[in-house]
Amino acid sequence: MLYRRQFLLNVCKGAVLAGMPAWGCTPARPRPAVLQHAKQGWANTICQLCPSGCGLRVRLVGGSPVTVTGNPLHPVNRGGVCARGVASLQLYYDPDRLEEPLRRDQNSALGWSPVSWDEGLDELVGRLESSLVAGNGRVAVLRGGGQDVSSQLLGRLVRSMGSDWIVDMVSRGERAADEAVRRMHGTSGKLVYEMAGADFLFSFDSGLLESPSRMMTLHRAFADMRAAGGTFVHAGPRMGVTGAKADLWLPARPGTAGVLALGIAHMLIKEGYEKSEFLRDHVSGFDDWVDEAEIPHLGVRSWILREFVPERVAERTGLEWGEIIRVARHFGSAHHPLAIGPMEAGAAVTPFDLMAVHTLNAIVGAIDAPGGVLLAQQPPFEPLDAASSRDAGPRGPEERSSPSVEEFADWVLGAETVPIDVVFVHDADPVFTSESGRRVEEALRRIPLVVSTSPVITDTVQSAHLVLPESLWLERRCDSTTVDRDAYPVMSLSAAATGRKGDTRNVGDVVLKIAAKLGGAIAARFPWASYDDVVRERVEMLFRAGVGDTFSESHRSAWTQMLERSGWRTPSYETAEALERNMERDGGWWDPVYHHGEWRRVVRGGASRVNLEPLRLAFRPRAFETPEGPEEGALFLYVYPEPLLTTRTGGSLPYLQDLGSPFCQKGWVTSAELNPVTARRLRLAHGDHVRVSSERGELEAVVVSSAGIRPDVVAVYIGGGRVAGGRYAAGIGANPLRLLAEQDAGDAGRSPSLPTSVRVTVIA
Amino acid sequence: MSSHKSMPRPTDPLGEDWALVRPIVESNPRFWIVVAALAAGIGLGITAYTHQVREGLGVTGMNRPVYWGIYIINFVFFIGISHAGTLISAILRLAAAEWRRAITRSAEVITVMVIVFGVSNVIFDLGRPDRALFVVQHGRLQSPLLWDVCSISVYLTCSSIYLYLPLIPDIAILRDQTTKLHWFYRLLALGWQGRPEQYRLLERAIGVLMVVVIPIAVSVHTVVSFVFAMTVQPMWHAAIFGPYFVVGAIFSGIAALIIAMAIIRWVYHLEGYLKRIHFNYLGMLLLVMTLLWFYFTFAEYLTTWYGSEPIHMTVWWSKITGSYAPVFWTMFACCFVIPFSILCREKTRTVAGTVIASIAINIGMWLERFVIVIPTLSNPRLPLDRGVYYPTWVEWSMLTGCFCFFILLYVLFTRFFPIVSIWEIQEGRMNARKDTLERIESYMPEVVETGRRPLAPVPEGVAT
Amino acid sequence: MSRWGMVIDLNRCTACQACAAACHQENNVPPSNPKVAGGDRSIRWIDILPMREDEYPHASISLVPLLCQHCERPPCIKVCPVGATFYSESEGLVGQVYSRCIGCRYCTNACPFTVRQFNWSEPAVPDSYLEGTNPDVSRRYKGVVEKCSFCSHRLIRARDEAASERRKLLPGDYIPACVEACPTDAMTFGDLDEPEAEVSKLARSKRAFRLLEDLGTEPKVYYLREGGNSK
Repeated sequence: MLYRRQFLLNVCKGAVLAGMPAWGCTPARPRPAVLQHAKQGWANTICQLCPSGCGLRVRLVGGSPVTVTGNPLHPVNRGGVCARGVASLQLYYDPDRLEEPLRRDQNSALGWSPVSWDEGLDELVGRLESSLVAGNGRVAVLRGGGQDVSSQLLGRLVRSMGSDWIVDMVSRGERAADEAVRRMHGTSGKLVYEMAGADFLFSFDSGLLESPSRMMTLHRAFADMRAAGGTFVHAGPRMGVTGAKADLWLPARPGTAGVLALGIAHMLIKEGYEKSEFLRDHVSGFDDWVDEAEIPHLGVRSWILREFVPERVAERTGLEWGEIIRVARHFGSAHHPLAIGPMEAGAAVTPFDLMAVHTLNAIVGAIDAPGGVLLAQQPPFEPLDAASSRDAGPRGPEERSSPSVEEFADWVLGAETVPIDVVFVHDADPVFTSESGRRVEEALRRIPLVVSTSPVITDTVQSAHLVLPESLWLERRCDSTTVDRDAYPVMSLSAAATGRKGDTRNVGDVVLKIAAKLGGAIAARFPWASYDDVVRERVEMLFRAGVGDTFSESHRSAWTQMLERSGWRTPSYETAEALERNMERDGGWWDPVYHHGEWRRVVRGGASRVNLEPLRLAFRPRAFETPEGPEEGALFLYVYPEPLLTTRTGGSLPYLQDLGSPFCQKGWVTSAELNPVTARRLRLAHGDHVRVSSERGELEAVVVSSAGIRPDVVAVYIGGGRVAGGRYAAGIGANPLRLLAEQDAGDAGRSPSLPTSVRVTVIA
Repeated sequence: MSSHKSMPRPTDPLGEDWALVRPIVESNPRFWIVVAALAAGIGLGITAYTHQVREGLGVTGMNRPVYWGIYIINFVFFIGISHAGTLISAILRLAAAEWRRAITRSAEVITVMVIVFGVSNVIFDLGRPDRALFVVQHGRLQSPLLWDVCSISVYLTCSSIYLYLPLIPDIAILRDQTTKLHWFYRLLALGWQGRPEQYRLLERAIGVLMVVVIPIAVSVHTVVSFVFAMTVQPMWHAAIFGPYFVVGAIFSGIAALIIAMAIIRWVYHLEGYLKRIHFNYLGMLLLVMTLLWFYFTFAEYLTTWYGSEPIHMTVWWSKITGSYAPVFWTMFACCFVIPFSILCREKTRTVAGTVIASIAINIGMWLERFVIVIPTLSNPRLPLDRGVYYPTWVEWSMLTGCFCFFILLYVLFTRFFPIVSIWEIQEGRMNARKDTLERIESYMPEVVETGRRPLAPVPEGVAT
Repeated sequence: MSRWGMVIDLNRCTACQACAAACHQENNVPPSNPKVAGGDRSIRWIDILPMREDEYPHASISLVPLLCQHCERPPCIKVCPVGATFYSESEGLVGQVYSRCIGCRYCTNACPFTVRQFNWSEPAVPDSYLEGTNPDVSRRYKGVVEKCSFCSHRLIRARDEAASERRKLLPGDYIPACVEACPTDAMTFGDLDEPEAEVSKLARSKRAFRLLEDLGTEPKVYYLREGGNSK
């Protein structure tokens, strides 16, 4: 009514005064009354959109979260915040958020009907019980990379039911890095690049600044390195943000990171830049050796010298050999050179690439050295889902550190009868993010009960039968265990920042309830009444460990650091309760000391030497073959993540959809980046709508013409093309993962993957 | 047509000039068909505007960075057309060009009507039309838009008076000679009795106005150009813009006048008043303006090209070979190639020929404004790669609506007032020959005192 | 008297766009949608501008965060017919009065940086988002121009707070949302009239430059050139 009166009033005003009709504009919608003169405050929370575990500060007005910024004490982000952290408020206010448990219901119009928590849990527990009757190990969990109590409890539940199918959704790059560490170090540690201490950073298609996980850690360390005057070189088929921020971009062919790294290694060895002392003390398999049976073996050194001659490397990578030599000399003569391998990008990453880069780091002595590559320190407690001897016999992948979701899908689809009854999906959207998304979806459809904890309907939830929506981190007490950029262990803790929207729960509590209902041996493995009890136990472990302190300003942290190095401690707490209180107040606990050269910790077995031998075993001469084509008119498809859109809920945050890629400037649409030369050849112009099609599928995208890409490549980012996810995600953009050639999941360690060739045609 | 022997008597002031009153007193079914068609067009425009007011300017094709579109182009275009009337008629009057008598009225009407549409297009362009009067309430003289507001409102006022004053004697004729709307004409005639002192007063007022109106008209289009020229944007920030816009305005104004005259002549069978010679003379004037337009365009583009500042050249190339090349070259053909080739020959400077040239020129001049406004905006200094401008149905509908409304007003005017000034024609018949002869004589060298009349009788319709 | 200004170190900036998200949330910039974005009408107070140079394979691309430059001689203010945009002499900020703006978009066209934004339609904000509106910043409606304000509402608040504590405004009391959010500390904000302020020191550095400096609009956003030694 008001609208109409205003409207008429304005009509009269305009008509009378101006002598011509000037209809009024609608007044702005009034702000809800609650915000006027409301009480304001700040509360800490921990972002769980990626494994970084940044500390956030939320501004509350009248109890409603209004803005988000970083917790200045938190060592991971030191007051900064990434775009996703900021926009996460839009997840809290998402009009399409799930606010109560849902059960698949074919009769309902939406395909879902709401159920109470008790009903939902009863159904789940009933299924788990019958699964236990059918046999051990018939459950699995697919989780995001985050290490918090809740997801570990979920893992523990799966383990206690005799299954090892704990699938952590980490990127192909990270998986390859884990594999490299496992083979060369014999441990399951995580690589941490101490960039801030390096003065020459060489990125081998690392996608450093495009990595969706640990964005804050990487960006902050990178900025410090640049601010200190460090040189940065990026090699890869697409310049991207990483290359744009580099001093030099080497447009290497896709999938040649490892070959190029060894080409550089060749030059360093040949010209005597290798750190022989380091290689002698901490590396094995570098020099030629003779075994007990007096059989001579070729060392990595001779092998590199023989195989990776600059001309050959130049031909394979598509670079000029003069340039390779020049960059290698610069790299070798730096004080703290550091090479970074592929972190995320595309299907072309193999453990061979990571091992090659690691070998290069070994040659320049950058392993476990200041400004080098470190192995993350563990907090003083075991993860809750660690395999223990008490668990029933392993049913799952052997030897490998952690199975991938592709292996999981193969396992489910490969068995004649479905080998599994229940799968939990927590903090992950594998149907969307996996390269074999369709297979994963197919596998999930075979499983009798798929339980999701997602707060929104994701692509994966569409294959679920039961949704038990978790509370957002803002709405609950939450924790996170992570490592910061200097490989220090960090445990964040925060109280609930704001009230719950709807009937959602903390997954930790839900798991404990399930365990209690299952009873018997399983309940015995969960001797806690609530999530809070688990957290308290962990805090007590921290207290007993007697290291580290709660977060503090950087100058105080430096003081703590100095004292601890010389064997002194002045902790800010005296009891475990005080520690817990202070952790909630300041954001968490950390141990800001890294002891370089702890070779017993860094390398397991083999006389604490990094073993380079697996590099040679992983090498296949195919790595040198330049793949055929792309045939006339076709291009290689290069996929890379768009960090703002690749997180599990990135799609449903409209701020992020609008920002999209900094190269495209146009949000809400997937871009196909082409070299202007290629665009001209294909008669395409910047902004044209095109169809990119491979043997496996096709997508629509908008052409971005940029000189920062190889002419034989078209780059499409991952982050669009969700089927579900609410009004801001469903049907926005396109997913290039669906176009990739079938990857050989089982043999990911060895064969260099085939690049996918695509055609780009204009849409009339 | 009229023979000088049958000059109308004072008691019968119309005589054969009744043809000029006929459209007012005789109704015609064709008129209603035209009105209905125009009303449909206006309805479309109103629908479009209502939609736009409700939904916001998002219904147009404008975007970031192309913040201005058809509305501003129309504004410049309509204001340009408005130079048809007052300026041309004032210049012709000032120059005492006798052939002006039949055409001044139709020119002046164009001016007054079209200014209204120029101004309303600016209102259409406002995000908040309800705040339009803020320009008066909170106006800041520092802004070129305020200069426009001042200049255009003065121009509108003067043009209206300048239209109205010469209309008074004709209104009196209608009051006295017809029965239609007697009260209306009596009111407007302001007690005109055609007394000599009234004529003297009228002539004097017109004399003052026609001098005043010329600088105002020049200022109007100069100031319109300043809206663009005062910014620092590439290819807008040019000193040539003031005169360039004035020339363009007169150019399109004359063209519009020719089209209007041709239609009036055809619809109301006024071939006897609006004769081929008028079109021939206006055609020559148009030819001069065509050449002037070419000269200014050439000067502008050459200067930019020779200086070759990259930021300007981006815009330059986008016009010459880039995405706006089709528009640019159509404009060039319409504004120069077509009119020049028609108008440069006496043989083709016919009624049909000048009309074709005029239509081309008006299309061309609309495109010229497009070429001025859009390419600069879509190539901002910083490389934002956004913004391609395609006008939407709303904008086209509003353009249609404006044209229809303008034509309707014009048609209505001709249904209520004589579109050819009756008294000026009559005055011409009575006095022009004498005045002209006297004037011509005054040009002649006075040394020749032979007593012999040097001149043959002046052929009819020849201007001096 | 202050002259608030900003320095953006392009060596530290990683084009992560956190500034843009933080700005938009702080200033109640409505989220866009495919239709709005497809028509190039997304409102962005900060954009990342890719400045491309040279050809493949030696191409270089600078990713420059672009926001209102708060010029000392702003071309946008001169042209406003109703005084809806103003220059605060005492603070050195270019402000916009939404209730005065008539939406003629002359300022958006006069601005050589194209940083002024227009509300082409009524912002399409779902009701559930309204609860998260920042009460310090008025929401805009269709038909008016808006732009970066350097979070001037934070200045007002900071001045109030300082006054209530009977002290002067200290460095760091007033920081715009983008600077606060910047994870790599690439943005420095402060009073350019304070010669000892960090922002002034950086603005004087040899690496400092401003966008379109030759137009003489005297922007108060400085950039520190990429590459080379930072110090």
